[in-house]
Amino acid sequence: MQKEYQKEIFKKLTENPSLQSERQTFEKLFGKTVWNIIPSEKCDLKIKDLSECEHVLKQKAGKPPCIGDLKNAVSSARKTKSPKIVQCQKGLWAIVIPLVQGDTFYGYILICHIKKKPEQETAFVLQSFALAILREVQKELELSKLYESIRPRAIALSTVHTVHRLISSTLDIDELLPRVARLSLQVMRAQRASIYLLDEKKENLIQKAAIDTRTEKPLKLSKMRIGKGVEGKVAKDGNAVLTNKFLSVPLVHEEIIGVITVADKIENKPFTSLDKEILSTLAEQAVIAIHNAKLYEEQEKVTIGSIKSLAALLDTKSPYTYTHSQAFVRIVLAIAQELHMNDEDLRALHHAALLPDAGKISVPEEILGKPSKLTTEEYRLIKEHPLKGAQILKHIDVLKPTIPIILHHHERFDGKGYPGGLKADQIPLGSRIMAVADAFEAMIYKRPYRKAMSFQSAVNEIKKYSGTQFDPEIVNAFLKLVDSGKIKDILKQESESER
Amino acid sequence: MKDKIDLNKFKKSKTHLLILKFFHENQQSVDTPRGVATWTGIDIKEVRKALDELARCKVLIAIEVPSTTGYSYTHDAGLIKKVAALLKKSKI
Repeated sequence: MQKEYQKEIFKKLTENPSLQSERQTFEKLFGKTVWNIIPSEKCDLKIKDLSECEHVLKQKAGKPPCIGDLKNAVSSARKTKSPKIVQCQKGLWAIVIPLVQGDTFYGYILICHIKKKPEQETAFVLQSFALAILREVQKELELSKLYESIRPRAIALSTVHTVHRLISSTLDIDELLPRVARLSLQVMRAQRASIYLLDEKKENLIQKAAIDTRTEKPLKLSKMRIGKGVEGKVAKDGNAVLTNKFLSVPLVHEEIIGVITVADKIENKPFTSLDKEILSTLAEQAVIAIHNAKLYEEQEKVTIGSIKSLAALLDTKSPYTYTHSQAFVRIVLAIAQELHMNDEDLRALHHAALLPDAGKISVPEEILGKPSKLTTEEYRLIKEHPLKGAQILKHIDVLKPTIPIILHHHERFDGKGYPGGLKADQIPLGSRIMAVADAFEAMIYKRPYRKAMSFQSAVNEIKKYSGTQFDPEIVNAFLKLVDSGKIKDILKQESESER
Repeated sequence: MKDKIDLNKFKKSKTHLLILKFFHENQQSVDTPRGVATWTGIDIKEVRKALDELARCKVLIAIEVPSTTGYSYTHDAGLIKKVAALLKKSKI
């Protein structure tokens, strides 16, 4: 290895432009000369090392007369570590400059054909220049070696960081697991990747995501018992399995929660122990993301459960007054998805849709159920319910993003609604969506105080009030859902669940 | 049926060629536009545009999340060969 390094240094030294310029300066003073840069392994000077010398070339047979003196000079220069001046041909001189650093002898520079005998001081100056260039070459080589070794590690680290960003950007486990599978496939250069998670009883591994680049068809997700099959054994023992064609590592968060498997590397390359290390790192990141997504899912279940409990409590007092049907919630979410609402806003809208009218608790029941026209005072009390609802929910931190939606869901697009008389974009998007779904639901369901309207008549009414009561953009999204049959499907699901 | 992908349109673009070279030499890499800009030494705006074009040609795979996009190299062996030939020809 050391020899290789010295060889590399010598090669770079030979190509070094500073050394070329040193030669040019020297030749300005001493006329044209012959330079040979000879590595240490060639310290026994050979005739071919002097191939640039015209006297040597002219010599047809036998050794050139200078070779003996030059060999002695090389040997002495190496021993003393100092340059040697020697006569090489009649009237011509040579300098042997040893390239020595400490105990390491890199080689020497042999300058022949010098027409005037140089001073020893000149030889020392040449040596110090040559050694300075040698040091420069060494530094350059070290830097390039450092770069070569650090760059792949830095690129790998950057990949780990990017993967972390990509998988920690979602808390939706259904989105997360296929993404982890896709990234495992990419990073491992594999053709197939699968993610398995343990079921609640920790008896089976359930395949949650699977990708195979060789097929465009979605893969059938399987299930296997712990201890059975390769993945089952990985899940049981917690040890990775590595073969040429297959790599499976456990997902461990305090205990084993699942397994990541990749198979069939592209170009038939085998999986290596480095691949195992990389996939294990990816698995560690995936586990944190899966854990966070599960926590979020649980928290979301608790939040929705609490809202539903509150709604159920209010419903026992007066059904249909404080809450809406499941269909209403589904229609609200379908419109929001049609409008590509982001996950955070969608979540707030979902919570708001579960309990938009909690504030009606402050309105006397006889007013809420009054079949005849309301008095001005009664209407004033009704109009206060969004504000009261917002006041009730504001104490629950997780529901804070829902408050503007609840507060303004009785606003009208033309500004004639309540409580703020807000217009168009001043009304939160979620409230504008709820206004359409609320009106539609109110028309199609029968209430104790009025008959239900037909599906088409209700749709026509929504169309009719587009731009006045409702935001035209929301109405368009709603009509698209009507045309695609989605709204009818939602209503069908609702009637089936009521049976 | 797969569309034929013509990589020759990138043969005169140093940015596209350097990005292809980076992913061809580091096939396990998944990186953001900022990362690719660092490794190739090209301005990030140019990198973003070129990455998007290469992803549309399916030479790169893009995974988009709200905060960034991660790019990685294709798995298509035929396409990888085409890239290798293009890089050899361009001598980049």
